[in-house]
Amino acid sequence: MNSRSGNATALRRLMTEYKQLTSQGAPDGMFTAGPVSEDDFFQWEALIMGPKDTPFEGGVFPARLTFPSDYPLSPFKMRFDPPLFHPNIYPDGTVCISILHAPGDDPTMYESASERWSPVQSVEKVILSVISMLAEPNLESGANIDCCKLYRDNRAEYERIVRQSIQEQLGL
Amino acid sequence: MVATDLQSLLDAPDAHDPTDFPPQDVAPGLRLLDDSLRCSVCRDFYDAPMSINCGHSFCSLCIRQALDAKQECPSCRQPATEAHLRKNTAAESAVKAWSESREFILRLSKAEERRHVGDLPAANGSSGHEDSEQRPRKRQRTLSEEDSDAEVEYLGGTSPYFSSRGSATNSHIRAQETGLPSKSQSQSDSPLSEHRSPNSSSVVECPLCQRRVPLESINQHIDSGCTLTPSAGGPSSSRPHASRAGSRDKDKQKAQWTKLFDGGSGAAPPSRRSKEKQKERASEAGEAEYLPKVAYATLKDRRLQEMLAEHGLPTAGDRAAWERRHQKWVTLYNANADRAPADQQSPAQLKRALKRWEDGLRAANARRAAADVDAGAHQRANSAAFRELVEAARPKKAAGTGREGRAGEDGRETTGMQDNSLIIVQRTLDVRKHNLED
Repeated sequence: MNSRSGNATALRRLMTEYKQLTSQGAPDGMFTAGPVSEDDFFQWEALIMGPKDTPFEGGVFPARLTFPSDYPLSPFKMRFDPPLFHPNIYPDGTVCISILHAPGDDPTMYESASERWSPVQSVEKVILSVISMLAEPNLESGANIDCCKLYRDNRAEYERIVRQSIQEQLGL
Repeated sequence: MVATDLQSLLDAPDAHDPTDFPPQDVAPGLRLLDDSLRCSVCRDFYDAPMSINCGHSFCSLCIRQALDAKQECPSCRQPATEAHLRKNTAAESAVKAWSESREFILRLSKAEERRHVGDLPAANGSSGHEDSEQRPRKRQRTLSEEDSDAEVEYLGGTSPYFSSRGSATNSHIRAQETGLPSKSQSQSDSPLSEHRSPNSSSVVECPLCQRRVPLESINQHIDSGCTLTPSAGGPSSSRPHASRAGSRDKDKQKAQWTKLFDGGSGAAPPSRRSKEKQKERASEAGEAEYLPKVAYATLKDRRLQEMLAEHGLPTAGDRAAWERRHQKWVTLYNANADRAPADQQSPAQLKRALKRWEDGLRAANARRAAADVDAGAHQRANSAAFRELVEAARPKKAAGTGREGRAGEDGRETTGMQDNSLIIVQRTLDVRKHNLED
């Protein structure tokens, strides 16, 4: 346990966040999140419900959260597994969202500092941001360019692909 | 062992958080109170709280580390530097008092919550299980009962309380019922429950603290917050020793006050007290106790080693490790200096904290290095395949732009970064270019 935990502050904070998420629950039950296993608090899994009135409605999307040892000074990483077809999600499933980018790096050169990671952000806030990102993609900082283009030029086809992938995932 | 790890960790006494308290409708404000005494970075109670220019407060260590990373307030992003840090002594004493009373209040509120959940269904019979549903009903019931009582009193006119005081007492009771449902409930329920023992008429159990209290003084007992003896109120303990101007008169006054408050006990010899005071003043005046920040780039290796040795820190590792170690030491040291003198840690304790931090860092680095080596090895092993893919991608573009060489190089540079799928990067570049041309 201790060999992996590294930073006591990070561990303590992750425990608090987990405890709060379990006892309070997410708003509207839109997601759940928690450590994958007891002996590694730095690997979480989240289950996110597709937001209503979007093509993602009805889907349940598992994502992997990987926390750095200096959390919360540095942001965690979030990766949908299996990947989602979405303009702001890389083809390998990694989420590209400004709230998860440390103030230093800016992969897309489009982000203002005000929407970056800061140590007062939390798992809950980030996942809520990701949910609203699912509903409203940000085409200025696309991660999946094919998807961006499709979204811009042929919205109906984009929505069809998303719905189909959800049905496949649910085994329908 | 492993299976119970998670639960035991969450149950550990130091894994406390605002949701330990009952929700807002049972214990109004308690969660918020607990939350407002916590640093928003570490989510623990403030440890040496410091305010910055925008008014937000954080633990000294948390804000110092955050400012090392980025010079802005983590909450509102206003620019801030370490020069803006000021001690927030009010928050510090509030945290101290709250952590002392927290367990007690937690126990009280839990008992209250149980009473809420346990009593009401029995009283209402048909009521549902949800708290929010029960409470208005209960309130309604008591209200209507009182209303009918009042009516009877008004109509009959035989009540002993009537004429002058009847309506006043009733409205008073009603105000209590609606305004303070928990308290009034505990008061009105306890005589009915098993707590009441009519035989021992003079002694009852306090519904709040379960202590045995004489019946005639139970109301005073409850009103006093379960401290039967009238509190002497120790102003000396919470008095801020704030006179940093250090004028002699004030000191003299203070000494006299101290003598007065020490009173009969008077155990502490004056010399010790004044020494403590001096120490406090010194730490308040500040600068001498803090370590300056260092511009490491201007230092020679030898000097850096000397600086580590000055503080008795190890000089193992490479130069980057020395800088990291010294920087962390300065942060830890200064954050420690922000603590109240009684809470400060010894240098040995700080050194242990430094070592723990370094061990954790090393473990994390080892892990990351392992992951990196894997990615690098994967790239090297598949470099031939990648090259083929690049070649395959080129002819397609040759017709289009004729600049494929440059695009290919750009692609190769970017592959080193994160995901090693060159094709995607290249296609990304293509589309970007298209978009620009559009």
